Amino acid sequence: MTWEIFGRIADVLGVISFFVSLGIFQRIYAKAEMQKATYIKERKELFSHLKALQQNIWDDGLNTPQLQDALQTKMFEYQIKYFFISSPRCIFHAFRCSYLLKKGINHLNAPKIREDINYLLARLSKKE
Amino acid sequence: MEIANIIMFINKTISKTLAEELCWNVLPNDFDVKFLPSQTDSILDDINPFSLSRIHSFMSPYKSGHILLLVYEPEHSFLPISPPDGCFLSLRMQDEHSQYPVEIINSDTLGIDSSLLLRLYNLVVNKSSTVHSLIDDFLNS
Repeated sequence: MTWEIFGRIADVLGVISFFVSLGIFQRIYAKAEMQKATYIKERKELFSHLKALQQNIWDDGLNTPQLQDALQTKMFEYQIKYFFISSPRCIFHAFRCSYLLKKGINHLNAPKIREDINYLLARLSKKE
Repeated sequence: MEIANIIMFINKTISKTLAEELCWNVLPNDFDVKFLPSQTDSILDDINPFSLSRIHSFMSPYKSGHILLLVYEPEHSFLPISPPDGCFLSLRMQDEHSQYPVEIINSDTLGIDSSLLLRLYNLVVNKSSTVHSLIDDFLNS
């Protein structure tokens, strides 16, 4: 008797889990569609800002706290706005860059930060 | 202006700014900004009107004229504006004798990478001499 009750409870919970999963997948899908629309609308602007900051810091030699803050803000913007439509590699580069920027740009982390920005610029140059 | 000339102009402006051959200052309140023929101090757009922000705009004297880097901010914005994000930029040249300025490039110019204008703006913000602006303001007061 007891096992029968457990079995019935497990069946009911299984059905409930199925519907809850459907709801979660639907929300993720809706969020991804929204991020895709945002990406299409704002891709060019973010690309321009990121490229300008890259040139300011490395070509113009303006390694000021204000520009580093602006770069970090753009990284956070990328993470927040496009997380659900980014590939694992994009997410890795975006998060690594914002992590390295916490300590400021120095001769040790500059190559990695440049690599991350270059990858994201390449990603943003792709139209959806 | 042709696209090649526009790109050359911006690159020269950037290199002259880096070499400190151009002296950028915040646009003074009493400076006479000449507007394009179809414009006033706001860019008319039914959906998102923009207006000139003098405190975020810059000018540099050059020979008998001035180079202007103008920033237009959205009029109806719920959040504080931090140029150049969300702003319309315009690079122009004007002198005392001409009625209208010449616009070299703006944020919407087609066929040119808009990151150049943003790069110039970030550079000018860093290189502009606020102390000299204060001195000029004090002398004119």
